[in-house]
Amino acid sequence: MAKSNSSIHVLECDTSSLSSISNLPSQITKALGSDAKLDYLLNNAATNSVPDQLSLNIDPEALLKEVGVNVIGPAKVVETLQGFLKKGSLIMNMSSGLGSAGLTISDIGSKCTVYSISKHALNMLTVHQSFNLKEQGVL
Amino acid sequence: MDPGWVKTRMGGDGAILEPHESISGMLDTIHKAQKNGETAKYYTVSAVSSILICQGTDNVSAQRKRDPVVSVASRGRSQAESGAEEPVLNDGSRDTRCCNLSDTGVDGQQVRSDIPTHQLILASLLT
Repeated sequence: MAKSNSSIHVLECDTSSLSSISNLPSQITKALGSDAKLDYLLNNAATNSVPDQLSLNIDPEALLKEVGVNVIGPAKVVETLQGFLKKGSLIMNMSSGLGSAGLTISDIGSKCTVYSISKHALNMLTVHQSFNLKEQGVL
Repeated sequence: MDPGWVKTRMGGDGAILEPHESISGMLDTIHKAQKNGETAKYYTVSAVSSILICQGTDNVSAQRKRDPVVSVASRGRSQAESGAEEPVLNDGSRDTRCCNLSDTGVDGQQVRSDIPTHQLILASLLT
């Protein structure tokens, strides 16, 4: 797609790697210029690495890794790209029904606990990002 | 954004929504949110005909009897408690719901429907 359309740029980033994320601004500047505005930032990358673990058999390493990818990843991507986020820019963090305590209680039940915890944390991150980027006019 | 239970590798067995259904619902929602200046909200793309959230509370069952289409999509408990207006969705099998992110907590309330028209048309074909 990028080959047939010069306005499409594919920039690779491993959102589980802070060093990879830190390379994004220079890549974007190269592709779109230093005053580029990101109209939409969609944080989609995530992992559900240990779906079988429930609350009584959580592997600490697995939970930390899950939070690293699913929460710290989107947090650092937004932080790193803050300079490209301007009035009207919109951030969408891809959550899950499993991230909702309400839905888990009423409908889903206990499923994919580690993933569920990380997505619930992502929801809270979203609230904080909304507050912290309000002055910038970011949605 | 909760994309709904989508037929992807992560979705696994039993997933309900086709990828294009979920994606079009999300794109509609994003554009609408941007237009309306909405922030810090939680959206769910859902299939009314799904069994994903059928195993709900008594309130959900009660709502099902009143309106079999709306019932599964709405979170009966929240709506009953908040007194929010019932979403009108008589011919849909899919909608995008929106609520404040606080609703994803244990004490969630307030649900309002957020249903793009063309989704309803597609939905009626699927019902």
